[in-house]
Amino acid sequence: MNRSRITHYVIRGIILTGFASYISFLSKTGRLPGYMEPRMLLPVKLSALVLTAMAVYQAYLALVTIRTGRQAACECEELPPLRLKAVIVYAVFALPVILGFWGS
Amino acid sequence: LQSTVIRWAPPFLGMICCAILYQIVTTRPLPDPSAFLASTDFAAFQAVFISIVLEALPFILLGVAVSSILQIFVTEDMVRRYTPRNPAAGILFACVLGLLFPVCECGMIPVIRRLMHKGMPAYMAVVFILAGPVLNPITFASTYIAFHDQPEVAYARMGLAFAAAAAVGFLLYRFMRKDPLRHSLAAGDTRHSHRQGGLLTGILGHSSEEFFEMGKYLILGAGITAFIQTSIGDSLYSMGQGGLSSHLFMAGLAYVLSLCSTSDAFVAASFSTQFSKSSLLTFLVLGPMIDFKGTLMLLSVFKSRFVLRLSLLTALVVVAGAILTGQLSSLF
Repeated sequence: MNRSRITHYVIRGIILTGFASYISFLSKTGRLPGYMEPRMLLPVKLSALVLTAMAVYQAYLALVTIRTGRQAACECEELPPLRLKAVIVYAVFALPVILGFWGS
Repeated sequence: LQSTVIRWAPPFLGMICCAILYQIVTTRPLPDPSAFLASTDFAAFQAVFISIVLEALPFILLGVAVSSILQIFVTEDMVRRYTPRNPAAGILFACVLGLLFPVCECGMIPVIRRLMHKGMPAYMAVVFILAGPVLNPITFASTYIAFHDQPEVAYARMGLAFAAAAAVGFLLYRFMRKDPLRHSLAAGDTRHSHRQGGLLTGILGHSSEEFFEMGKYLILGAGITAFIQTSIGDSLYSMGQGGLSSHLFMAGLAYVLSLCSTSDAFVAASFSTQFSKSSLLTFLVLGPMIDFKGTLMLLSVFKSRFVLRLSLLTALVVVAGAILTGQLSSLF
């Protein structure tokens, strides 16, 4: 149970980091304006910060769960079992990041 | 092991021989995936896909953040206390309730179930499900930005959603006799308390939970849209100028894609060169109200006969409203 919970947190953290680093990669290489109209630039850059914060929180949850052995988040949280369905969902999330880095 | 090899090797080798023979006979070169990936089609697909996802990202994040803050701070008791008794006032109240709960329909069904459990009448709940995802500040802002050179689309979206939800609400109030709920709502409060001081972590936790809950529909929808645009974009153009056919296509697309209302405006804007404005309005208003994902969630609360009637009624009202709006705007 705990092991699957930790795996969820780690995968989510990696995906969130992937999104955030892809946005900052595009921004650093000056390619971000090619994907959107100018007034969306600031919100998209800000959302990279939010995504980073969410990734850090996932890492924190994983660490707390590893060290104390109990879940750190509130009990309303429902994590699906790590079956094929969950794997496909995470693959869907990884798709834009992989395609983005690959195509560039 | 030996017996397994002897058992399976001949048919396996036979199949390989057949495949090689087939290749020799047809003298076709082996398919090369890298050629497709380097082609312009793929580059166009990648550009459209990434652009839809990135532009929608801030709004989906804002949506999940606001919804988590509300989930923590606004209790159902507060909403129930201010619910009016008069049906007309109740329907109008349900229409603007979305201002308080700016969440997509995915976040809406659990809220609705709780509200009905606490005594909200069903017709008001339905109006809220229909109007809430469209009539809220985040959806308005994202539509306004996505259609930055045609601000009238954002206003028309809000107006039509309000009118359609109110119309469906009045019809339900007038003609609905039987109890539409699947199960009589069992007692069982799902309220949970948050530890003091864990406010930021509470918001972050709910937000990332909801982000992963809703983001998958956005990414899948963006992928399908990008594929449709880059593969059959030209033939869409002729279809998009037709009257009823463009509306029906957009209604079907909205139903299948099941996008979040906070981000679907960017998808609609990517169709704006190929489709008439009034058919985009169908997409923008009907999509958040009735879609594949929403139907699944409605079925968990309401009887299937009621869900079917509600979906057909709403689709009819919205398509008629969008065509009417298109006709009216062409007059001026």
